[in-house]
Amino acid sequence: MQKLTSPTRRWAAAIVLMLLALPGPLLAQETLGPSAFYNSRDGFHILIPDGWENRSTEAYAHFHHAEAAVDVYAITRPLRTGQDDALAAAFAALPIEQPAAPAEARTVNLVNGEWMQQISIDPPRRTTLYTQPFAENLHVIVWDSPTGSAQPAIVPGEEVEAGLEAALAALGLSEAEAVSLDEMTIGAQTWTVASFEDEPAAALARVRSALTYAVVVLEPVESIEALPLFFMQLSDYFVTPQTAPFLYLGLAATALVLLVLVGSIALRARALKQEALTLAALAQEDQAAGSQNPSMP
Amino acid sequence: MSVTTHASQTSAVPVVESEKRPTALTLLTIVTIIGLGIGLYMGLVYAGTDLQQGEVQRIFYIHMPSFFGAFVAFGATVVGGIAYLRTRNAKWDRLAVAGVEVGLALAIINLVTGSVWARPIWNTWWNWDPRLTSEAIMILTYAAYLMLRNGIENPEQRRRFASVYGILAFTTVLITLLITRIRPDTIHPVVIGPVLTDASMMNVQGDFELAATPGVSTALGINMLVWGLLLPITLLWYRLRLENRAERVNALKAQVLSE
Repeated sequence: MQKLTSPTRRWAAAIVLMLLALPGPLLAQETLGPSAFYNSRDGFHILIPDGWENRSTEAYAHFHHAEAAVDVYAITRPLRTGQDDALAAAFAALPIEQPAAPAEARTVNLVNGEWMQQISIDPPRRTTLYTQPFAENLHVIVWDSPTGSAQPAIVPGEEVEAGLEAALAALGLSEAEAVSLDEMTIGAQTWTVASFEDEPAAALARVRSALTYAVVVLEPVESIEALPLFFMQLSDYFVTPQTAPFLYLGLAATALVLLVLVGSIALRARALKQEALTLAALAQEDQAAGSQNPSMP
Repeated sequence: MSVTTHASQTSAVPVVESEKRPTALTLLTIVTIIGLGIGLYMGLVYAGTDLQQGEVQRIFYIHMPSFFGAFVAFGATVVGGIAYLRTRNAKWDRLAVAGVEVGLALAIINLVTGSVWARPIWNTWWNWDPRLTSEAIMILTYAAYLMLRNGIENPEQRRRFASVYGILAFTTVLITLLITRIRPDTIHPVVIGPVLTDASMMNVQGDFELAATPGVSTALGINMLVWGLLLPITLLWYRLRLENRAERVNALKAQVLSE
């Protein structure tokens, strides 16, 4: 190593300072707040609704509404041998039994794709099951009400009254007739709240994209506004896309550009060195020729 | 090479041998290589995976810092250009051209990584978003600098032209830097710093919160230091040495030819 000159010393000091600065950001770790999503290991993410107790485990998401005695589960299982097997595997992992054969099944087209909705009524238990095949997995979201206190349904209907009627029919309550309709703001959404003389206690409904989203409450619940938040899970669920190949492509492109620049600098430096040596050799030859032939100009 | 006392050969020797790499450059190179390794580790391993974008979001740890590296290099061109116009010392012109070449490489990295990221996130390799368009103009402007510069024979005229061009070309860098904050129709996300108009965030696609994924700020900070400072300075230094050597070889060539 050559002796450190004054400017070199200044450079060395600057580099040492830069190195000392490196751990700074490492020490200044960002503090992360609680996630608004339940994130499964296989990239399935669903929103945790406000007012629901999060009882999720590593294997599945589980949200509990104590007052309404409702549990919502979300789980994803690989689609190896078909949807039925994947669904059975999902219920084998969940702490509840697979619901009875559905009284009503239909496909509902939501913002994040098509879901199969299956409404099961096995008194007193009421269950609404949503399933969606996505890539190589089956996503399952279960609304389970062991006491039959409340149950959701999504039905076609561009008008809230007609949609509510269809939802009641789908839930086996076709004889129920609303006596009053009021409006309730939940978050940024306006929901219609229907009251009944006898059963059910109430129903909440909202029309979106030619579909009526409804939750029918069979037993009185005070914090009724927390129940429709379940639908946020359906519409806000997402799956982390598999984008690793694009990362590798980007890294390869970066390496290539750097390699071209560094390689080009090195090659040009070598060529210049060669040129300097050739010029020196030429000059030497000229000098030798000049000394042998001093009369030449 | 044997050392003789011949005048021409003693002129050639310094061209090759006096360019022994300074200790500071060796140290800087080592620090930069280590920094690149740490930066890659932080971006690919330490930082969490973005839940909405998946692994491709990690390209951001190269994409954004490489732009700031280009900014530093093109900034060196401005400094070199102004200093040359004031002093007429050719060393400043050499700094300017080194800055353009290094800045261009880093800007291309920025553009290519952005395009690769856009494919899965925007579902296209390219669109004429204001930021992408301004960046393409910026790259073409600096590519033209190199081509036009080589087309001027007279060295003095070439340096003067390149200095003025290099200073004016920097406006394309500033426009590229600020355009996402002022244009309402951009889909390019603003990750750090203030947004000058609320409307400019209306159409953003592929945005993410720094605090939403663990380790993003730390990984980004380290990569900004490496790609935005260490790497451009190291590359500039090597490129400057090459330009110095070329200048000396040209001088030697003129000397040999005149004898």
